Amino acid sequence: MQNHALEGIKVVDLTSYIAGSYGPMLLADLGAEVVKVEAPVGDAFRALLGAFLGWNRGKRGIVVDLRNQDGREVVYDMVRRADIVAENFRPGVAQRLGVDYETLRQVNPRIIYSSANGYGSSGPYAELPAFDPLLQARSGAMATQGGPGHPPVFLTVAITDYCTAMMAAFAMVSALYARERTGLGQRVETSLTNAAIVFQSSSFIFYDGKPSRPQGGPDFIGWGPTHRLYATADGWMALDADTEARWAGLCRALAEEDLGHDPRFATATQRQQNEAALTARLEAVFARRPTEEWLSHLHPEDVPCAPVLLHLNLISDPHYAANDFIATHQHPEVGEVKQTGVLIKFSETPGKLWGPAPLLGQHTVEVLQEMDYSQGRIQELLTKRVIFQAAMPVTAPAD
Amino acid sequence: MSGPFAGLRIVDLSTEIAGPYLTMFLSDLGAEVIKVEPPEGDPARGEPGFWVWNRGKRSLRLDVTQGPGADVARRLVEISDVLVESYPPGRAESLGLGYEQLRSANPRLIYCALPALGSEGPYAQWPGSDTVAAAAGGVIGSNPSTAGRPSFVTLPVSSYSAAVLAAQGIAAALYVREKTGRGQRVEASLLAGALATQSASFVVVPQAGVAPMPGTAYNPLGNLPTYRLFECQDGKWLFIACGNSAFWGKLCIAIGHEELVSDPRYTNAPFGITEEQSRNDLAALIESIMKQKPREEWLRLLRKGDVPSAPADTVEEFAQDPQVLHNNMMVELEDPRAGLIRQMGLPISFSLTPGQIGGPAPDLGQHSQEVLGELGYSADGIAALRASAVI
Repeated sequence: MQNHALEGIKVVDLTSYIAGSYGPMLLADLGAEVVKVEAPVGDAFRALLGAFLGWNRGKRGIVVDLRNQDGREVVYDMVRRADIVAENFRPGVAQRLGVDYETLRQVNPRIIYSSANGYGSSGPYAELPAFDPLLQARSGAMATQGGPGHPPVFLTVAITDYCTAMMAAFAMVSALYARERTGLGQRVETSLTNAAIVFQSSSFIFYDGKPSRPQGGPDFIGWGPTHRLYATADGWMALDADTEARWAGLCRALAEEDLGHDPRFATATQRQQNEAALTARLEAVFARRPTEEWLSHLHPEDVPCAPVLLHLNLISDPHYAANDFIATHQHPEVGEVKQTGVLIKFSETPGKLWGPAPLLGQHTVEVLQEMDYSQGRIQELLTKRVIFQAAMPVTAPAD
Repeated sequence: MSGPFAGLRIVDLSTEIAGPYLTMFLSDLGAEVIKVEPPEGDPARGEPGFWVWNRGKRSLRLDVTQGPGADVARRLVEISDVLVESYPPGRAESLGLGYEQLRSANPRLIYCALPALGSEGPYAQWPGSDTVAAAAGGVIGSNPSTAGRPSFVTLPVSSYSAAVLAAQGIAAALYVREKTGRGQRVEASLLAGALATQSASFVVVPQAGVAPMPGTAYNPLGNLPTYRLFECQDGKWLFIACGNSAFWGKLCIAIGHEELVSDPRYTNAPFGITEEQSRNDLAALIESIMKQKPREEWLRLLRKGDVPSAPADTVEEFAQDPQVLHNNMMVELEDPRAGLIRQMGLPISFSLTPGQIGGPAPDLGQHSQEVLGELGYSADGIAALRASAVI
């Protein structure tokens, strides 16, 4: 009986930061048992308190010192019982710590091993440090947002980190499915470099006669008078009405009699040519009434538009509750946490909310007990500082 | 087996970005995809992205609003593994193509819906688009401007994100089906895609641990003095990403100002700087230093000093990046109409079941005849469908 999609799947999560951590969290959300294995200093992004909760929800957490052979044996015992290992170490580090694919497949030939790194495991930049903004910059995303001839813009959404993590999650589940058919494990890999392209797929394409690429600008407000943000009487609204059908609907909805007959605005080309006049007109119109009222006129005319919502709105929004997009957790240190819920819906095998992100070393003893480690052995490993149970981060030399 | 999804057949009724991009991922990894297009074609035809999102697929031009057209679709779904649609909630049912209507003829069917805002709740019937999901999903709201209002994001991140989430969902449903023999309905809305990219920014905790630093005006180059864009002497831009004290120390050395490490105003830069004035002073100082040399020279010095940094290039420049080429992320496809198209390669590598791009994107209805023949329609039957503009 399969209650949750990934019920019974065990994941050894060696990842940290965002591009690593979020992938296994998505698997936990689908019902997998994910154990996050941290070094004694812990995931560096624990320093970003709230955000860490958004990248590590649903996991248990243990602390193991992989520089110690006894520590490695603990992880090998986990891998023997597991289906997936996920890592995002810089190239060479996994080998040095004895948790690379070649080593772990000896421990468990059926293991699925996922690598998510900055550039790939080989190549001219493979040794360089990778952070989301570095790939946003290098890949052209910042230049596109800023517009030609203007300074690039640092996007607040960490698109390359999130895309990498989502692709890694897709890859791990795909490999699980392949293993059901073949009986074999394998290694899957993706990178921030590749993710930067995935999230710019329509820009990253070149052929003779390609139309010039639309780009942003400083304080970018939108593509043109019918596809941009407008201030209303009580907030901001996004309008998406470029097509002739949507323009006609917009004119009917606004009940500005002359607008639909004005030859300056009759076609998309003319609307773009006379964009200053049209924008000024629409700015004046939309400013007169609240967003809610505009939606009530525009939606029946099939014109896509929406309020620009902020996170604080979303938490109490009934639409979000109706779609189970909000989760509430009780965190042992922080108290009540509200964050996104399970995002993919399944009619037969729904996702699972295990609980909040773990404290550092919160479940170390529990996980070892589940592997039938004796109390004596556990105590020995604690005393030798090979493992840590809910310890404060130890200042150890960085890897 | 070439690709984890080799041998699977997918019927793709979706249009625009998210659905087609999703089935592209599956096609790249071995699945056969039949793109079912309305008579006027996918509205995304004509956009550059269409060529990549629809590579490797066959196209059946079909009017599913007519009874015989819906029949064709149903027959296709009966012999397929996955159906993908991006209709507004309720539309598929009105066409007789909803999950509950299709499942009895094919209990193994995996039905994947990509509605704009989800299938439940007060906004479900809103006319949808990527922009709508970005606005309702906090993507635009969390992107500030110097004008004290939100800023429009150029990339359709909600759609791209929904595509990758849906791919994970379908893979999971296929995995479940191997164990149970049964299909199910999977849903990944554009709104879910928007929320995935907000996973950390959406967290609400009593202490509001990630509140913005008080008194900091928004800077589109980046708000932290050592984690932001800088302009160099030659007018080119680079990004420096020093987010902890170890990297801060390396930065000081690389820019020839080792004395800054022990400057008490900047201890544990950037997060350790408590005074806004100190943040601004440090930003201004580094700005002026970066303007003293051209970008290439800075990149060389920073790299030598193990300071995380990268040029802010254009997409066109990135297409020549040696790592991109090393990763085979720039491939050439020969297309009968457009000629040579350079586009994205395979972003995920599988050591045992690697993917392969199936071919160029199809013309509208290019494979209608072929697909209907495979379904068992006779030449006369196909002619009749053509005569009544069903295909």
